[in-house]
Parts: sequence; structure tokens; C-alpha cells
Amino acid sequence: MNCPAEFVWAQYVDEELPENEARELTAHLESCSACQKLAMALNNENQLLVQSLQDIEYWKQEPDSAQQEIARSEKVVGGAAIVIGAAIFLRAGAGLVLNVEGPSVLDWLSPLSLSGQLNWLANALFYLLGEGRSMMAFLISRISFIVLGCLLAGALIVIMRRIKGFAAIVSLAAIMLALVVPGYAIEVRKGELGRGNVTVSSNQIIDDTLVVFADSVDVRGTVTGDLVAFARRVNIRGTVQGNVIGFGQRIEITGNVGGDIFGFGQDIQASGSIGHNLWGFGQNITVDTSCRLPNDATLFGSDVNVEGAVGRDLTTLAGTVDVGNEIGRDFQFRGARLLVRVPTVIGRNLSAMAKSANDVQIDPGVVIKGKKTIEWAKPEQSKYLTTGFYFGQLLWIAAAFLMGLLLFWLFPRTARAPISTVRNVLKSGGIGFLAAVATPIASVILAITLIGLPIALTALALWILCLYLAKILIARSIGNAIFGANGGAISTAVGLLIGIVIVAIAVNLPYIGGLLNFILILIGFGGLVSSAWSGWLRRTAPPADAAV
Amino acid sequence: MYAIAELPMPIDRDFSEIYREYHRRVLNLCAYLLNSRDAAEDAANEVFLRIQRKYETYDPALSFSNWILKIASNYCIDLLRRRGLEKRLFGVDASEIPEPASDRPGPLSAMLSSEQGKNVRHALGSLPEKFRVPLVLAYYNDFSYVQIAAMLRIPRNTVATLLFRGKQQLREKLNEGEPS
Repeated sequence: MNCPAEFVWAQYVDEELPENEARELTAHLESCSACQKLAMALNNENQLLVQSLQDIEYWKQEPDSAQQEIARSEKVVGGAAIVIGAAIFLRAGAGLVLNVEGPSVLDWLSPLSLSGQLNWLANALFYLLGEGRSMMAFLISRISFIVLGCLLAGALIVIMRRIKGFAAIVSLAAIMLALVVPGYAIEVRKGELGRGNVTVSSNQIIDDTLVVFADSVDVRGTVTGDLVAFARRVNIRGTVQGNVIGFGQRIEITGNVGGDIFGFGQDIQASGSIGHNLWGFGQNITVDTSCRLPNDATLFGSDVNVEGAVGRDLTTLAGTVDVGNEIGRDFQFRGARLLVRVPTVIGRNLSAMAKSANDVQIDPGVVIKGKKTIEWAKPEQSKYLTTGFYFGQLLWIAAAFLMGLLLFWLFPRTARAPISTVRNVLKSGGIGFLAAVATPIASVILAITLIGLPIALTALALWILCLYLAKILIARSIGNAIFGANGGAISTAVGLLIGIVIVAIAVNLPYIGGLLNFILILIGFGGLVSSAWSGWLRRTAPPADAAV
Repeated sequence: MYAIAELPMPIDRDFSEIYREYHRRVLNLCAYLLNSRDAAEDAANEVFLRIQRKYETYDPALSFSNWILKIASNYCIDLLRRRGLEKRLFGVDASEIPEPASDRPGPLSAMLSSEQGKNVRHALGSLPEKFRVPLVLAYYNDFSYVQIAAMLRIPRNTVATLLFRGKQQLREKLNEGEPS
């Protein structure tokens, strides 16, 4: 008898051969030491498998690979969430820049030119949130607010379902920080404890850095370190020897600040003495005549008023800028309208960039010691030639990447949206088209009934969210196609990033970009809907064929 | 095949006792089959709901643990099927009939350390579904080829082939990680 193949021996040790065949093999074993060895080895292998698999303490010993991946991506996301906060501020700044450039550049924010719908939705939201927070509208572009709101809710759900870990809480906190709401007394770390108003009275000296979360902060005394304040009103009448970092509706500085001032708020008013630089991000920024500012001022705002003297450079990126005092060195302006009044003296160069020549007004008595450069945007300039466009795209890529990480972390199932085969793509496209068209119509009908208004608003918010996420899903499947669907966290993240870049390029191609954009959104939308649907199916009724 | 110690047949045990006794085994099974702990937890909960619902239909002549594992396996396989949609999950064509394993790594040695157990589980997790599922059914559940074939709706011989090739792949993965 010839030696049987390993395949046969494998069935033999599994005790799966017919009895007569097994008997023959047993007989063969006695005469063939090679087969004996093989059968023994196969038998041992089976034992190894059984022991390895049936090790009941499995979960206590090791997390499974998917778990490890989550743990790794949690770290990535934890860091990423902090970056999101920064991205929002960047975006707020970018919103100002892009507004100056013209609204067409804002298209990357609204996949189907939704700005109208977005506006009323955002307005409704802000109205509900109350007047005190209206300044948020100026700080956060509307879409990111809605998207983050939904993600916030998602994160909350995840946390409530199972306190899964630190990263979730960290990202939640980071998002909340990013959306920091003025008028809320949260806590006072270091320094004094109190709700509502925190006052450092005039004879009080805080010999440390002070971090304050309160409704209003009033510093009349002295803080020897830095002051970090989150409050509706931040008022510094006394002295802060370090830097001031203030987030608030109104930030007013009449006292002395030894270091830099970073102000983020609706109104920022500087009339005291500032040791170094002033960085202002706000709607209205005023530097009073009485303000002493020996170094630079960098101001981003919609109305910027510089009545006081600036020791060195003045850089503004704003809607309207009004300058009426001495500027030690260079003055750079970029924005919609510039007014330079007497007695302005500019120590070195003036460079201004506006939409048209009429928007820059320099009074006859103004002295400019260096060069005067005034540029204005040519109206027919292609969007591909503007830096704002690329800046916007970069921001979109960064935001989409972070959002993607968050999405696939919170809802890993969406990563497996069925858009890998041609058939699935067509199916997703069809579903996407139906969902994309039907949702707004259904929402309007629902909204008319008034009772259905909350559902309509929710559906519409979800719809907008899905439109935003659709391309991220496409990017993920491109990434999967490159690196495989089950790669580690790194290759997933890199794949996602590459996918997003490809999508960003594709939708910006001349002539066909718009169409591509539309198609990609439909497919991604469909994929999201299908994966949500199958996720829902999985949780509901048992399938008939799973019966025993 | 290797028998798992047969657990006593429950006649009128209350459900929480069944849950306590079998939960970990069902959870592990789901985790192996679905290759994800999160999904396994959801699945295990669903499986116990089904066990409760179908308790009346249990035939006391059969092994109770076998019955439970069968429900759990069916449920997970169904999930996998739906996840893969219309893809033929466990199919194998004639050309895939195994060749002699001369140039392949030989059977794994049976020296089981906790480290090796971990490696085996890890390698198993990295196998494609079509190999992983039959292996788990055969060596975790201790199901026969015929039982597995019925569950996966494939011929018995295909089960033999999938198991054989699955083990070969497992060897390759393990030898990759740790050249001996």
C-alpha cells in the first residue's frame, strides 16, 4: 500500500474517515514509521488547537486584535480630539479670510450648496441655545458646530453605554472646551473657588498662575503668573505679570499685563498697558488711545479699531480696519475695508490687500516712511490660483481626517459600509440618491405638521451630517483598497488620509469635479445609510435560518 | 475528536444558572467566529435570548452544551453571512483541493505554553473567515464534519478541505512569526 496523503491522515486523526478505511490506515500505521510520525504530529497539532482555543481564560489574558486596534486608535483619537479644538479656531479665522475672498470659496463647507438651509438650521439652534451664546456664531463656522454637536451626542451615547475609557472622556472634554460656552461657571482651579463672579480684589496678590472658569472675572489686584480665563466678561484693571489668555464674550484690559495677551471673544478692548504682544481674535477689537503696546499687534476680527500706538508691527486680517495712530514698523492689512486716518505715522511699509481700490482709504496727511503696496484681488481670478482655496482644501482635509478618525472610532461598523464591489457601489449610489432627495422633502412635509417639527429637524440635521460624512466614507474605502480592510491603526489612518486627499483632488478637478462630488456624496450617503440599516437589522429580530 | 467534558443536562434549572455556566463559552465562541470582542458581546447577549426563547424545543436526549453551541454558531454564521452579503462565504472550488504538503511547514508541535496558546489564537484571528469558522466549529465546538457541513451549507468534503487548508495556513502564519 502506498502511503496515504497528509489530507487523508488529517481526516483520520479527526476520526472522520469511514470505518473500513480507518481500519486500513490503522494497519498501515503499524508498518510505516513515516506515516506513524505524521499521524502523531497531526494528532498533537489537533490537541494544540483544542487546548489553545478552549483556554477559557482567554479574555482575561489578552484583548483581541480588534480591541488592541481600538486601544491604539483611542490614543490617536484622544490626541486628535484636542487638535479639533484648535482646528475650530483655525476654521473660524479661515471663515473670515474666506469671506473676504468671496463666498464661492466656502463651497467646501457645504457639499450641495446648502448654505441657505444651514443658515436657518444654525440660527434655530443658536436661538434655542440662547442669546448669551450668540457669539459662538462668530467663532465657529456653522457646519462644524452641527457636526460636532452630533458627534458630542454620539460620544455621550458611547460613554453612557459603557464607560469605555479615558479617551472618550478626553475627546468629549476637548470638544466641550472647543465649544466653550461663556456664562457658565465651571470651576476655579488654582486660586480661589467660586461660582459666578471671581474677583481678585485690589489689595490681593495671587502669587501663581490663575486659571478661572466663571461668569465674570475681575482682576483688580495682582496676579504674578499667567491668567487663563474662561468667562463671559474678563476685566483686567489690576496687574497680570505674565500672559493673559482670555476666552469670553467681552475682554477688557485697562490695567497692566506684563506678557502677551491672547484674546478670543466677541469684544476685545485694550486700553491699558501691555508688556509684549497683543493677539486678538474677535468680532470687535479695539485698541484705545490710552493703550500702551510696545511690540506687535496681530488682530483677526470683523471690526478692528486701532486708536492707540503700536510699537512695532500691526497685522490685521479683518473686515473693517480703522487706524489712527503711530505704527512703529510695518502695517499689513488684509480684508474688506481699510481706513487710515491722520495722524497715522507708519514707521516702515504699508501693505494692504483688499477687494478693490475703493476699499482702501488713506487720508492725505498720513505719513508712510517706507513702501506703500496696495493690491486688490482681480475679480475673475480662477479659484485655483488663490491661496485661500488651497488653504480651505487643506483645512477640509485636516477636518475630514479628524472627523473620519472619530467616526470610525465611535462607529466602527461604518468602516465596513458595503461599497467595495461595482454592484454595491451602484446600489449605494441608488440608495444615496433616494435618501438624499427624500429626506429634505419628508422633513419639509413633517415640519408643516408642526408636531413633526422635532423629527424633521433631527432628520435634517442627520441628513446634513451624512452629506458631510459621505466623502469621508468614500475616502476610507479608497484607503481600504490601498492597504486592505483589516490593517492596523496606522495603515488605516494613513489609508484614510490618502483617501481624503484623493477625494479632495477629484472633487476639485475642473469641469468634472462638481459631478464627481455629487456622485461621491450619493455613493457615500448610500453606504452610510446601508451600514446604519444593517447595524439596525443586526440588533433586531432573529433571522429565520439561524434556528437550530 | 476531542470531547469537551459533557455538562450535566439541565431539566429545570433556572435561566440565570444556564447563563452563568455557559456565558463564557458562548462569548468565546462568538469572539472566535466574529473575530471581535465587541461584536461577540452583542452576539452572546442575543444568543442567550434565543436560548431562552427556544428552551422549550430542546430535546433532552441530546447534549445540552452542544445545543447551546449550535445556537450560538448558527447565529454568528448568520451574522457573517449577512456581513459578507451575497459573497459565497465558505465555498471552495475544485482547484483548491490540497496538494501534497511537501514544501509546506509540517504539523505544529504540541508543546503548549500560554505564550503559544496566545500565538495560535492570534494566528487564528488573522485567518480568512472561510478557514477560521470551520476550525473554530471543529476544535472549539467539537462538531463533526457533517454537523459543520450542514451549518455552513457546504459539502462534507469541502469541510475536510477547509479544515486541512486552514491548518496549513495557521502553520504558515505561526512559522512566519517565529522562525524555528
